[in-house]
Amino acid sequence: MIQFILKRLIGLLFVVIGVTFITFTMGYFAPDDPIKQLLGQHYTQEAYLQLKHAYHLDLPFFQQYYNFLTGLFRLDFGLSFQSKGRAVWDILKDGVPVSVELGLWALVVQLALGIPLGIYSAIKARTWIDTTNMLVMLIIYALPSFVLATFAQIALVSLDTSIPGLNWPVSNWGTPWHYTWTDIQYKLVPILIYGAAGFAYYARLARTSMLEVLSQDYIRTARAKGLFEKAITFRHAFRNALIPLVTVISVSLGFLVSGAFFIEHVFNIPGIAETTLTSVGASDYPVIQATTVVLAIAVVFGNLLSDILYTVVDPRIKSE
Amino acid sequence: MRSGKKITTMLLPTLLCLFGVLLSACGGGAVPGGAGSTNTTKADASQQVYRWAFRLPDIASFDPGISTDNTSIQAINMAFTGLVQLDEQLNIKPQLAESYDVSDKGLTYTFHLRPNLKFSDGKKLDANDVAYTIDRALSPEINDQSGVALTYLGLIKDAPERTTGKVKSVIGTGVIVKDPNTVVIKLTKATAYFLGALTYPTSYVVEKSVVEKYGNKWTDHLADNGGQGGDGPFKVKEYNHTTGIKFVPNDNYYGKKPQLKEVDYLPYKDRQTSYNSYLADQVDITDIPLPQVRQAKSRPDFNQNDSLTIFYIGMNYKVKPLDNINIRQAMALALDRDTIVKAAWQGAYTPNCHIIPKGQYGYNPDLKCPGGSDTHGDKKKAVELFEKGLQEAGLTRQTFPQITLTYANQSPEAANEAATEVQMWKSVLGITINTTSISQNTMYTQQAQTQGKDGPLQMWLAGWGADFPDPEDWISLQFGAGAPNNAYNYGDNNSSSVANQKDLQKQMLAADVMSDKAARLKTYNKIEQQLVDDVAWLPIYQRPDIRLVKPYVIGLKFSAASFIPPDSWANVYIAQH
Amino acid sequence: MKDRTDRGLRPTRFRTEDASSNNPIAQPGVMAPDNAAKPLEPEMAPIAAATDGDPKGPRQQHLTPFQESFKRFRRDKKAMISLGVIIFLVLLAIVGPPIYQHIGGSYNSTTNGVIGPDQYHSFGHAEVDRLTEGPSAQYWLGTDGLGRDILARLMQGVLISIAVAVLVEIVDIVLGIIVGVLAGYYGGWIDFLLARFTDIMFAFPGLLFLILISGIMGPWADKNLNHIPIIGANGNARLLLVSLALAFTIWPLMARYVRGQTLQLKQQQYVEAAKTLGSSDFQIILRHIIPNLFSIVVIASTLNISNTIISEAGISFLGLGVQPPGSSIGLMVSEGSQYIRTNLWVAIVPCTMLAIIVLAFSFLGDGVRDSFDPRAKD
Repeated sequence: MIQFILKRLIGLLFVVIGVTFITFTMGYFAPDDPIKQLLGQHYTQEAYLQLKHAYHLDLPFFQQYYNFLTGLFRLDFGLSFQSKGRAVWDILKDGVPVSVELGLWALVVQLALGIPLGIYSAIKARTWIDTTNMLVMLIIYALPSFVLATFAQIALVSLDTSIPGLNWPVSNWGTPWHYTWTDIQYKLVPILIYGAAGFAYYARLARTSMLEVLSQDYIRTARAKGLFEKAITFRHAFRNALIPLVTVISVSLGFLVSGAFFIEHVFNIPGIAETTLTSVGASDYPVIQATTVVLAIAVVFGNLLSDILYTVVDPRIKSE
Repeated sequence: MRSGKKITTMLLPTLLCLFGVLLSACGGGAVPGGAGSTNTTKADASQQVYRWAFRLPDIASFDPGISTDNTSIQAINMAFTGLVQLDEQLNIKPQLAESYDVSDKGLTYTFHLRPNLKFSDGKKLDANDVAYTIDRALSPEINDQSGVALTYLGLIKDAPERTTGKVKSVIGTGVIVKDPNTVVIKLTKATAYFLGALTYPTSYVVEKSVVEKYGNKWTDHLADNGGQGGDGPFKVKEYNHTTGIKFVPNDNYYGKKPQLKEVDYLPYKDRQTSYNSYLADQVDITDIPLPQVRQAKSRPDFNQNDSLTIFYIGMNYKVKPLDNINIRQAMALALDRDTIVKAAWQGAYTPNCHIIPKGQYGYNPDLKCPGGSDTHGDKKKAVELFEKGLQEAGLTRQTFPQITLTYANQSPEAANEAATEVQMWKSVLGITINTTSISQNTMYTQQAQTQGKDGPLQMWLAGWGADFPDPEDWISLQFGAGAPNNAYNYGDNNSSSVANQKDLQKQMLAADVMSDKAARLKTYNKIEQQLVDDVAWLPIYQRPDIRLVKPYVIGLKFSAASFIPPDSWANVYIAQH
Repeated sequence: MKDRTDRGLRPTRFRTEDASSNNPIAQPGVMAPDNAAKPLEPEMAPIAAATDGDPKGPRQQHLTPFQESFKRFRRDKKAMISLGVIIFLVLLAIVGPPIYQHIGGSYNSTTNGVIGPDQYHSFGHAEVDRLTEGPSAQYWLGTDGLGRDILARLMQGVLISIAVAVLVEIVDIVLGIIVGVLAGYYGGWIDFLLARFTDIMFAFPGLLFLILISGIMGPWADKNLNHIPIIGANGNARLLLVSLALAFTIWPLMARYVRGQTLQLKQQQYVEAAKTLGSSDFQIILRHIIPNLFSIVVIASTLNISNTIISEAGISFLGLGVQPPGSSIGLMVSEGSQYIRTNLWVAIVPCTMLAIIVLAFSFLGDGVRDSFDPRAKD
């Protein structure tokens, strides 16, 4: 196991270098010049050259990339252009906890909603409950998260304007990892919407998986033995149905990261995805590079985690 | 796994519509904000909190020496002050300085500070701090972060050398501390606008001990020691890069103290988000997104003030036949600015043919649009002038050269504006102007490149926001001989009227240094009218600041430069609601 | 131990009975652009299992009997209806505008004169005096906040969605087949590089990649790609960029499927026979391998389309894809959401259309998979 993890960590290094190279190259050859952005209507050739030098942007490509990589190992991502002179590391420290919090809670909601619904649907397979269930799933599945988020926000604004004194916040995020009533008000709707946007996936997956397990021989044997249906469902089928779901957690990391762009954008949540979007708009390449590396590392670690989990859940693999 | 199988696809559109309607139909249409409530009784102290939404994820910088954007400057204005500052009517008023004298033919400014000035942490503020601040703003370390110091402080002796590092300090040469209450600034050139430039945050006084203690990150420590680093009407209670800034009154402030107990400066990344939050009573003030403007204008809490920003079409005098005055005027008269603003900008902005904007010293209410018309233009006259111009230039509509109108692709509205203008020229004058879009940054670069040349820009959509509210910023810095922004090549071309243009440039120089305010105004008005008739700019609209403000916020008044003068905060309070 | 890093070289070191061990749904990133909205369809699992490159696999391989598959496909009512809907949408997008002009939709704008389909993509289309109107005989789906005909814009939006989907799938299939076959047939360094590259793309969330490409290179595209018809002109210049970026993020998965299938085919007796008869590698690949990739390629790409469409809509929603006055469905959603308080309709229409397109392609994908998946015959 340790050997395996070590190997994956070396692979991670490789991936990070690849990802940084792609991002860095993109930023280097990008048509929008951050220095020009900085100077705006005060652009003069002299000021431009002076600032370019001050930000070390007049160095050759490989020199800049080398500096960037060595900085990375010192956790020094350079300085932001947009937040003038602010260390990118500080910006990350602000954004990452928010995104992690949002993502984790959303995942909890997705699993807590999705798996029971899916399993319930499987047990009630081919009844009207199953049909309605799956119809709703399908609709939510077909509605992209940005559509859900936009509508939810507008609905909330309408509620606020029609019920005086409700004052339920429609955007922003409370203090990360704090749960006073105000914080909960801020966080509840984005998390629920984020959860709603993804739970249909788990519901459908859980249903599929459960149906497959229920058709297995050993379930039939259990039934034949005269065991109670509930016991069959929960003792035998449920555990086995969970196995493929565990691996999916790694997918969800990629999914959570991507979904975050829309949720954070619509609800004005100062997470790392929204930071990336604003930086893209402002040609703030140091920040873009940093957030990309962080997101990539998160995804790779997610894969690693799911691989480890997988061996824990499925005893057959341990025996290998 | 064959989950979808049993469901008929046909049901879905209906269901989706229902879903959407259900989600959004819950009660739209009610106008919040207590229409017509005119209660001005001051609310309890606990309610004296003003929640101010701004339109960025975070302010760009809290450092007065670095900031150049409005959002940051609004925050800086709360906690920092300068020697002189603008009042609500944009007149220059002494601020930290009690008075000032100008001597040596306008080359020496002597500022006498108020007595017993203190920073918000109670430490003494004197002339040395003023000198330190100016020198710091000019130092390469600070100037290299945004490159604006020379725009505002470049006239100070040795300033350019200081920014390149050739000179280690301007203290003693450009800025002299005569005694703890007197600071003398020496200039290399006499101008009337130097005081105006000093009103910009670049020279707002910062606390040396704080800056030196925390280095680059000093602005992150403004809330330490009970609020330090500045001297404004407010001090920082909390500064968080994601949740915003909390200000509380500064007990050591030397002017009238604010009534508010707290100001929360809250980040919203765009207008739409802050607007929604305003409707949900999360904030007390918001910008209005363009699509909502029409609807918002009828609301009782609608609020608008002129802002010193003018958008215009630049026309390069070095491009034929744009050097012909009749063709220039024809192109101006062919445009109906009211329709343009309506079609492209949701009617949110003010159609305009002025160069000096409304709301500042130098504005001329009697100004006439080119050819004596108004903002609607004059189609008939446009055609007449165009025929005449074509004849003079030896052209016909068929041989009219290919002219390109360039615009910045920052917003779809600008693209819409360009399309509308091109359409008007086509339908009125019968000529086809091409359009092309470039990024805003490329636009700035190309403007600089176009100076003295016939390209890359021929005609372009541009805007100018006042650096300081003096006509010089709009006239001499735009159209003067060798002015940094003269991409129109006014006075530097082969047109038949170039001699007149050069003469006008001389008048600008004279007006810049006139000391009699009334006479100066009159001269500028005359110059502006001539520039408008020459179509030196083809102004389209002035952009006002439009916002919603909760009716219970009493006394809030923005100047045309979109900020609130330090002493005016004393008039702002929250009424019972 | 399951080790994705080395999958390229050693297909599987263990194999469990269920489909999970080499389940592509356990691979994030590659399919990530679709994560714009959803992860890979759970239904993709069986094909992946069926086509996984396990040489010991129990499946016997023979030429795909197309007729049999088509027959099955024709019997699938849902898929056939979806196909009908898609054909209708394609027709709507292509011949809709000129027809609509004569039976509604054409109007005389106060500023811009008579507007025809050639101007639906321009701001000339905006009519200042008729903002956010409901449906009428002239404007079948009403007008948006700038006074533009919603149906006209919707038709353009559908055209863009479909154009992007087609473009992405073409690039995906071509690249996927070339690299996948080479990697599967020869192994060696191509296989190695494919594995490394796929690893990087796994870790690069697809939507992030899209955002970076279209955000950073977008201005360049706006300037240089605006001469290309349909996907270049009128604010659509970034579409090519978006499409290529999308294809770039998904082709490694296609290559991996193809590689697995190729590995399997390579072991077949008729390939061995062809080899002993002296056929060159090139001939074998062309005659025996590529024709047999048909089903896996068709299944994988149809299942992809709805995700591709959602991704394009998403990136346009964020303001990084199609630029105004162009009319992507995603852009219409984001524009519509601003008018939602004055006229909900403006947002409902594009949302519904997006849902219809996505569902139609999902059902079609399901149908195609069920009919063409070799395992389904068992």
